[in-house]
Amino acid sequence: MGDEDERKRKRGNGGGQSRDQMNMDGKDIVKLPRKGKYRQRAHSNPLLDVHFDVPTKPSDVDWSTYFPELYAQAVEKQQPPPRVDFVDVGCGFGGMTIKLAEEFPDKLVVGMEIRQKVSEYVKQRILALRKREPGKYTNAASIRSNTMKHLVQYFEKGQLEKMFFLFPDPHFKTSNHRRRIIQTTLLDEYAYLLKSGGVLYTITDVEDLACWMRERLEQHPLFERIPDDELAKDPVATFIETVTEEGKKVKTNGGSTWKAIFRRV
Amino acid sequence: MERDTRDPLRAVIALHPTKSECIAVALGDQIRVRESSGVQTVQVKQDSKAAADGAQKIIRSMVFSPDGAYLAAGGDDKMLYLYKTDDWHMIHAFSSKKKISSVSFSPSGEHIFAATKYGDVLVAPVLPDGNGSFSEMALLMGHFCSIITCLKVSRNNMWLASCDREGKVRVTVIPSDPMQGAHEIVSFCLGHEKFVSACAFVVPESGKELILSGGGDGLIKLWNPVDGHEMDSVDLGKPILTLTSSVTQDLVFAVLDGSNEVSVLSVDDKNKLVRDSVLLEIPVVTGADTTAQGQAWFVGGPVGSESGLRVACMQRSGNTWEHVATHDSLSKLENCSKDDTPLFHSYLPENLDKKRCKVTTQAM
Repeated sequence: MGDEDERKRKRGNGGGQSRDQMNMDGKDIVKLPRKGKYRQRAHSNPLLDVHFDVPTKPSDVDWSTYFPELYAQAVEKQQPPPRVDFVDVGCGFGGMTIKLAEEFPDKLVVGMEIRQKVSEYVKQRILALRKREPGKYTNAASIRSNTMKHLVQYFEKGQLEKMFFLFPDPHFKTSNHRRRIIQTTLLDEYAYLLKSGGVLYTITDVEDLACWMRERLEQHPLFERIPDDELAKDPVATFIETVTEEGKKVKTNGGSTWKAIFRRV
Repeated sequence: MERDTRDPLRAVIALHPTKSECIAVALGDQIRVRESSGVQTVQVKQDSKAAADGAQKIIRSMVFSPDGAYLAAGGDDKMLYLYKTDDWHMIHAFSSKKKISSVSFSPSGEHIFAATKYGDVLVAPVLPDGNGSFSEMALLMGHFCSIITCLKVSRNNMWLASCDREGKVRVTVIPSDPMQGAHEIVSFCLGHEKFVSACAFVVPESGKELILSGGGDGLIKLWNPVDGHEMDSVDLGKPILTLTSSVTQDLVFAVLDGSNEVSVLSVDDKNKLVRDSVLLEIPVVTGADTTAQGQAWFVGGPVGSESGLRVACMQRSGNTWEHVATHDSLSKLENCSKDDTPLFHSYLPENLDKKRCKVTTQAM
């Protein structure tokens, strides 16, 4: 056992957040997935036709497969099943999704990611965390999808309380600006999905993109900027800076970040 | 070998909202208008930039303004043409960056909406500003990265319905100033598993406005536009090309792809679809429109070796639909072509002689 410990320490961790944890007797090791095995190129073309299954409409989604424990509990208590409250759009390796699940145990969080391997990593991570800490993380799930094309096929009008767009792909070329995830036509859809008073969080380390996103949000009649004093009371507004892999990278490199946090009127 | 992915040539028809003898038909880049005074050719601009780049100049959508003062037409040459209907001169040609698939006027008639094959719906005011210059088209709303196939304004004048290649039907609030964009989505009507090619609003006896959609799956679906709830679904067996509502009779005509059969749909008091079928003498029907008096006009073609198109008019008489030879002047249409291409292949009255069509009623 001691040898194994040493070998593990010398090899180092899987990367950043995930650490293998051992119980005192060395048995029952619940291994978290290693990021290294799930790396995928950062850019994925959102314009391509999809090859994975997409639900036709929100009522076609079997949420019990994503939240089995919570659904079973609802059936037992004869209560209506819970619905998704928070969506992390482009969740990457799931830092925000996991953090939200921890901070808001009564809310359902879904991380959506277009890249297959990365989405699989988040799913495996959530499953491993559920095993390691039974009863926790039952409110988090990962879905692989192209949100720019299909988000309204998963969620109903006014369903969501919070939406997150953390460090989105800047798509620098002018001809690629139409692929940016915050754009006026898509903001119409996000306003449709968010309930009145729901919050949309964005953060980026690319100044040009920050201006673009802020402009689009300010011009949109269904979104209003949340004043700073109100934001100060929202812990989520603070931890969007450091909870994701991108955010941690930026902090390490000493870069600046720009946040634009707006409320759906 | 390069695959030809361009849409085939199809005839389009539009009827004047108040003058029942005024009919506009478009085939390719030719628009002909028939009025009581005769047939006119309407000029489609020859020198658009897109046409110079080799785009086909095919009119895909044509519509009259609610008061009948204007006619708008747009298509594959990325231009939206606006005409005054008193003398048919072109007022303006708006240019778009992408091909135009569907055109509609705003409820007041002050703005024109154009859906593109890029997923955007553009908007421009119909009247020029004080200096006589026209605005550029602005963005009204969009379906991300999808082809919008049809735009329709609701009967209550509040909503704009748009359907797309992904199978979505979206109902959006028409704002008081469309140039600022239409940002408030009322609902998404989701259920089609293939592209949706057409939609139409209908107000059944209950008085609540509903919407129908049809597409590549051959299904007609009935929806409540307020919440996107699917109320009924009927299988017509063939992909649907267009849906046209008849204002006077609360019927919707469904033109099927590659067929001479037109389905006549209505909504019963239980909010279920009721279906009739009409077989026309046009081999392939491609367009339909209705008059304020309740006549239904159909256009078809071109098909096979016949390069021209056919026009037929139907009128309801009790439980049957009759072909109607409307005016004697219809027979003069053949002589009006300035070039050799026959554009109106008229229904000569002596051949028609008030034929009755068999109607098969299938209540679903």
